[in-house]
Amino acid sequence: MASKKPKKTARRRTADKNEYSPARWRKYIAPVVTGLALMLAAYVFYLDINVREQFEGKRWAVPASVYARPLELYPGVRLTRQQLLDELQALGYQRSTSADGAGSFKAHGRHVTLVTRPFQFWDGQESSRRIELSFDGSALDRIRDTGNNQPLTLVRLEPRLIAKIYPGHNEDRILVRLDQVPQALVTALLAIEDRNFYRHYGVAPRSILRAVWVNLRAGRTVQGGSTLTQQLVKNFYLTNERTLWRKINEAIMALLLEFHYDKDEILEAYLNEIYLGQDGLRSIHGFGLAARFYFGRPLQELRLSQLAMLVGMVKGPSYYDPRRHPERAVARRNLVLRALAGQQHIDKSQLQTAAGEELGVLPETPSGITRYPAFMELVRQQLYRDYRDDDLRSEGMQIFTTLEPVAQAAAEQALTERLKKLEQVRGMESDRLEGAALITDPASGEILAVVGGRKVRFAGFNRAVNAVRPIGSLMKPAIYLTALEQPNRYTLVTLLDDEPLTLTWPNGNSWSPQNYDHQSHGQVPLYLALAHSYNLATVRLGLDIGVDEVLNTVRQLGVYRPLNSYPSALLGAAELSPLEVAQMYQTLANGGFRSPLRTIREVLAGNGEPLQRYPLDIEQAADPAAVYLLNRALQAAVREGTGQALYQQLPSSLDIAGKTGTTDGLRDSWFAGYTGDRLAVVWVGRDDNKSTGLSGSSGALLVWRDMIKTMGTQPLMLVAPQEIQQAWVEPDTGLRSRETCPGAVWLPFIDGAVPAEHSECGIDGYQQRPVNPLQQGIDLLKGIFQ
Amino acid sequence: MKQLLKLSPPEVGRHCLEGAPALLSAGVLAMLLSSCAGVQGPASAPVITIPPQPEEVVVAKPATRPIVTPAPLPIPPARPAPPANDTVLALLSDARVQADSGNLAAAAANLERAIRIEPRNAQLWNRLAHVRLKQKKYALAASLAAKSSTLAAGNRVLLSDNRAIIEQTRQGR
Repeated sequence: MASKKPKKTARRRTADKNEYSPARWRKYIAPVVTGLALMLAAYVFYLDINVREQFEGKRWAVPASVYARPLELYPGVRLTRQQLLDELQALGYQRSTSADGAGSFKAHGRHVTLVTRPFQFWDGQESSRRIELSFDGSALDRIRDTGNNQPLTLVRLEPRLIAKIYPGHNEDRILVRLDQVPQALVTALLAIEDRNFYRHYGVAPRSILRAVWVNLRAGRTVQGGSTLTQQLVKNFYLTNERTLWRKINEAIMALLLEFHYDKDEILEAYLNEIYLGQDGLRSIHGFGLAARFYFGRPLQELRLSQLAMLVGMVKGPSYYDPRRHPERAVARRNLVLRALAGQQHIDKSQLQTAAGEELGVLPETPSGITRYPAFMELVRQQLYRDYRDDDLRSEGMQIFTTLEPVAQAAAEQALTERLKKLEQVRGMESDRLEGAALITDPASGEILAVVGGRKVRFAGFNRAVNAVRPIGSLMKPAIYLTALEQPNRYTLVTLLDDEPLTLTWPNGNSWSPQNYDHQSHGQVPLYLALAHSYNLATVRLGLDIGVDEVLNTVRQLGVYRPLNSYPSALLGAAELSPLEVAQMYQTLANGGFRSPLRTIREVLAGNGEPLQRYPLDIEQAADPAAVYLLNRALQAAVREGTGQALYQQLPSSLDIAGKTGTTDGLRDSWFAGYTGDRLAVVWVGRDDNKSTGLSGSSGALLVWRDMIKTMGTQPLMLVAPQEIQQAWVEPDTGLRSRETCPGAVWLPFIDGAVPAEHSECGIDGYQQRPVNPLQQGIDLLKGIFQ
Repeated sequence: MKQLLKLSPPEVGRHCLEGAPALLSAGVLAMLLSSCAGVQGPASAPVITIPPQPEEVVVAKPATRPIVTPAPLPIPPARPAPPANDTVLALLSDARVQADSGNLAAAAANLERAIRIEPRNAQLWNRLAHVRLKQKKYALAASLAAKSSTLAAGNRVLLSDNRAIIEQTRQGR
């Protein structure tokens, strides 16, 4: 071939230029032929580089996979049977009567038996196990390995895939190794596409001739003569051009490929490269991804009929699309099955069973676009600090995030449904209210859920991160914390003056803050001023300790945005995003220890090697004893202050600490609060910044309540640090009291700050209060020994 | 209304030992210690109980304040003693083995997993502080030890160990 072509070209050229005599052009023939041969050699060389580059390089262009947190199963974990079944469904586990293969389960009574899938985690491989889970109401009671009948303490399920970071050309694939691929798939593929694959050198002239013959007789293209190698080459270039030139190129490149690589390498590349469908802009490449895309399961778990369907689709992924053209897909699948039977790979009964099965394709396309755009924005921010865009898009990295799907679903549902309800009840125009929500784990700073607006699947304006709004009374805890960090000046019962005041500046401007109820409340104990969110008492307190001091506390709590140190900042004129508010309250919920909020736990390279772990990072930011006092006051805010509406629907045993926030003209409605294992911040407002008509407690608080109610939570059990003493006090006077005195309350104080003076009723008022039945036991023993 | 505040969860920890007379037998003390060491909570939040370590028992000092005529005491809501959480114990023991064999990153990962399960367990924060100290991450170790201490009221062994960690981080820095 190499020597023929230039001659042809040369001859054609002579016909055009007949003024040259044969004798004259004969002396040019050698250099021209040599030149053309050199050009051809250069061309082949070029193709060679090209095809090798494709094979070596693009073969591995795998998008990064982003996972939710894995579900950790251990006795006592708060998890209902239904929540487990939801997780299994999301992971594509199949219900079966016996639960005998990886990715299958059966539910029986209060038990669920399942076979886990093996999965490579950051800290090693979790192998496949058959386990029985027993539930007890809202918690997992026991885990048993059904193999050896032993109880298990901790099992991880593989995490849900929540997003991918695609290469520029939007190709998606899940790489499979040849040894992971079911043999039936390879057999079927070779049987239908290239029976002589292991015998040819990349091209099969006889197949081509046969195809030409068949096609001529049919008058159209009914059969292709391409080998798998040629098809692979064709797939490297994403055009569908069908010219002779293209065919010749393909043939040369196929030969070159076979020269450089062995058959198994080529087959493996083919299995990962072949185009098998389209989802919007995303193209589906390879059998690994196709198995997920059409059946929602790993390739290894597919049945013969499903494998045959995928093999059948190679010929025309769009024409045989099982979702759009199920009849064509069935016919094609059965043709593949018959070919297998015809070549004695399967017997008659296998053929009949497989050919009689439903396609079993997922009705919905599993979207390549993430369901969690708001959360993913934070993931990307964290990733791009440490990784190059190119690597993320092509190296097949695995990113393990902190997303908790149950919390995320609860947050999405609460926000969308509650806003709709609020609009209906209040006769507002629909879709005017907007909102955002974040849920975190207080101890670790992990972000569990992010909702950036009412259109939760829409990657638009992410209000959780980018809506920067006045925070209103959410500022108050910073003021009270600053005060409580000075125990010799302030305690929870220090009386504050809730009387009107006017500040006047030299330029004549003045400011007269108001209480929400436009009343003043006289002398109020500090903790109640916070619980009821009294503005006048708070401004006086804030001015007393200094606005700069307060803003310094805000910074300590983890908010680094520069804030203006005007007195109005004390009442929340300062503007923050919900994310920043979450960071600030995180530090309070974590007892005064700041943990940077984060969305990523670990990153693995494409080959499963650990690249990076983002560890738990904490730093002491405030006096833990003062934070403890503040948290007790924030519990009072929910129990008897502005957050009371929470306990209309939630059990008061949760002992929630929380704060409402409302801004001027009811433009912004906020609630931030925490329980034993969840911190959540909700903002409700309008994009046009007009009034919502909602206060913190009539808007955001309700979303917060719905959210917690749906996902469930642990009670907030504050642990008093060593420096804390408790005493009965009289809140009206701030004097020491005793339990039997009217109105006495049991409050914590930092060592040495317990009020010294006793009220009339409270002489001899100080005493330790027993903490639990055990303490009573100690008292009893004491009595005996004394 | 204000009475409601009384129902806030009973404080735990420090009262366990305070006032316990010195003549209590070591056995009883060990028993008490074992229940004090873990943070108490309702059954819904399983809590680890740290096994008693008699040789480390510190006999509590007598109450520093005079005990006055006891007023009728409010009875705190009865909470059954939470079972030791085997999962956390297993993670702790894995972490210990890993830390001893020098695999500090894996030990830290397991301790963080345990903290996610029992964030109020002072022992876990203390162990993590030790791991970070070994890694010479002094600032983090000090913060973790301080965090452990805020949860360890009444547990003198743990409190003094945390102080020792913080002291070492000062020397290390």
